[in-house]
Amino acid sequence: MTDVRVDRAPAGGESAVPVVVDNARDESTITRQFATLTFLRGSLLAMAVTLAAGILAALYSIPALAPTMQSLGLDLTQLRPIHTTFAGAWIFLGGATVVYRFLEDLGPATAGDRLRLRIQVICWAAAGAGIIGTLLFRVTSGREYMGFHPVFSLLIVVGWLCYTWNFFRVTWRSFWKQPVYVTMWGVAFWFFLYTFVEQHAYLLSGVFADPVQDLRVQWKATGTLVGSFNLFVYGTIIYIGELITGDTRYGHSRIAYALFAVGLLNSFTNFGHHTYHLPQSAAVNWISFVVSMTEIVILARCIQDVWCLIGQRSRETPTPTAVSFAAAKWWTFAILLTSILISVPPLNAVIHGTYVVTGHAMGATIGIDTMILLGAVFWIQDEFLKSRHGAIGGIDARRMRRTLIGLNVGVAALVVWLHVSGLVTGLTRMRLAPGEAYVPPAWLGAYNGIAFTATGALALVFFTLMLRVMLPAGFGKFALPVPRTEMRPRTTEDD
Amino acid sequence: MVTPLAKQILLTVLVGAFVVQTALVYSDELHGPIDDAAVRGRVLWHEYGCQVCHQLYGQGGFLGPDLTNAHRTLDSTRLTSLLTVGSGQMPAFRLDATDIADLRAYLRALDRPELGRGQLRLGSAGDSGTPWGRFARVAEPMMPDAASRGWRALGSRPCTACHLPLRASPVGAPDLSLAVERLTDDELRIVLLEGRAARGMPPPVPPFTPAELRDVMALVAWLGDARDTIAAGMREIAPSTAVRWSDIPWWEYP
Repeated sequence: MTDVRVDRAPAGGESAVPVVVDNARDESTITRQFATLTFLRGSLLAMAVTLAAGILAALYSIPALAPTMQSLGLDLTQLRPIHTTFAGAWIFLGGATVVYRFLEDLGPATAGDRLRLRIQVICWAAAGAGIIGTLLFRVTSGREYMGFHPVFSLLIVVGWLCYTWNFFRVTWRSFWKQPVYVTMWGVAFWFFLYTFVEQHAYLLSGVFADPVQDLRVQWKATGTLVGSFNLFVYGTIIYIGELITGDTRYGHSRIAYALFAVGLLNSFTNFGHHTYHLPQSAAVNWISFVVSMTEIVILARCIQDVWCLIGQRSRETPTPTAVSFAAAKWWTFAILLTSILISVPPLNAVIHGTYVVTGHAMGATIGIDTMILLGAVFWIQDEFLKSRHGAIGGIDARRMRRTLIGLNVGVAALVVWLHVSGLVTGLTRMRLAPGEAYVPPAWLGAYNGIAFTATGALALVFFTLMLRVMLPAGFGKFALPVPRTEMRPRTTEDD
Repeated sequence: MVTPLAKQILLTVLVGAFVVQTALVYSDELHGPIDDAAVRGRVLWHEYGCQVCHQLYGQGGFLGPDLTNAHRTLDSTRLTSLLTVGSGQMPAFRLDATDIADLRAYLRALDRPELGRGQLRLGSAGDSGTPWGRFARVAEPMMPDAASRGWRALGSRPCTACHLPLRASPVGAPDLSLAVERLTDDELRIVLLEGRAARGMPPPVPPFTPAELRDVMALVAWLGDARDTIAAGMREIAPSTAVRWSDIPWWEYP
């Protein structure tokens, strides 16, 4: 069994000891824990839906299976938007799990908090169910992202406003004194709201009647929306890392803020590498390119972190959280490298609109975001399970480690093949004349099916194995509230 | 330790950068609005989820071809057939003639290669050509009369959207030159009249007349005999496979 320490340092101090607090009758604690658990459950469900829709969509892309699926009333116009919508939902709900877990430590919930939480849960649950139901009946916005009907966007925004209120009600007084992850989340709340609303600019007839302008706005809004969930995710790894180690120094360090600034600046402009080929002003292209190159700073830092990771030798079985975070580091290194490369305009011209873009997005979403959020969710689940069942109640670290390694190998194989396939497509089509229909080389067509099926199936098996552990644990009778381990300052008696 | 003031300055600078970039994106009017018919076509494009499989300027799915610059190569009969009958993984849609005209107007409005293209293409029409174009250049001079008429009949249906010359296509459409080895005359006739629903092949639209049917069957039979000769000819005129990196511009559209 894993041995995750639940020690948490009190704000501003590094020396503390755990004490068990029986808070069975504390309604505010019930609310806080209810929030964390509810979003944890929601995030796991969103991941399961993403996986199911993704697999069905992959099967549809096999020519021999498409007619059968059409006869069952299923095609990509339903499956793809379900997959992309719920992949985003998994990340935002995973982020909400961590943010509400953070709020647990910052004082009791008020009646207003409870009301807003209730509204948020109801709005988002209704939006989730409504989106699946309507998309299955092909009621869609027909957009590349946000493929659901815009009426559900209203529910999402109302829920988001409640969530934002709950966060800032607790943090606003000391916002500027809080560690970097609170700054990240605070920015991400407003950043999400703006970009989410901007995603709906197409509802304005002036934007809709100018499709290239709409494409520019859409790429910008989507790119920066991804930036907002990256802020939640990167804040998560720093926050959970702080909980595990009890060391609060990194969260206040200059390097943390410098990396935050470079990352956020990239979030504002990085969408540009999807729009180099659109008719648009040269200034947008040049700003995007120059800012993208600043990611080299983050890459350098990442290389250093990975180097330290390699140097670490431990005889103990690492916790699932540690394995997930380590995997995320490796993925960050790989994805940053490719991100810098595809931001170079001539290379971008070759690969845009190919599977390289899909591979890049999957690598970033699964490799970085999902690995970090999984690490956080493992930690939170483990904390709940242990506080209820004691030391033996946690997640089986050895088995989960094997599953995580298998999952990462499967996803890595899929992402590598997507890059290879996309690069071959880009290179072979650039030799053609304008207007000529592109037909991939015969060998690529043949191997694509085999490679996608094999690597996708491998990733699916391990994702399923992981969910098989996490879903029952997440939906088991956690019996709220549970006695909580909290921290008090260390005294001489403790020594 | 970063002071609250330093954090506030940092965020102010970053928000300023965001505002500048946003203003640049919204003030860009290089392409301009499209006409009413094209707007109606765009509504249909989204209503039927076309971008799930097709790309415009690199945004969209990978199952169907990029349609950014497809307008000038789209034959009307073929477009109608593709949209109303479907083809392989592409489902049939309930669209009338006005809808199809609107969709066509939308694709026409987008197809402005002088402003931008969906994909980087460095070859010239002179030294390249589509696989079916190369096939036509080699095979047409050799075709007997009946096969030649069959070729014209085939070309006015969307058959070449899925089938490729002398090879199976990535969407699973078989090599037509091998059809005589797999199917009897009766089986081939049924396929040409009714399609193969179980394998995603729709019936040809408009249906082949009895005379066209005979000619297409003659074409398929001739393809089986002349396969090797045509393949050798196509290899000779195939474009160079060399990648000339120096030809790639820094920006596609400066």
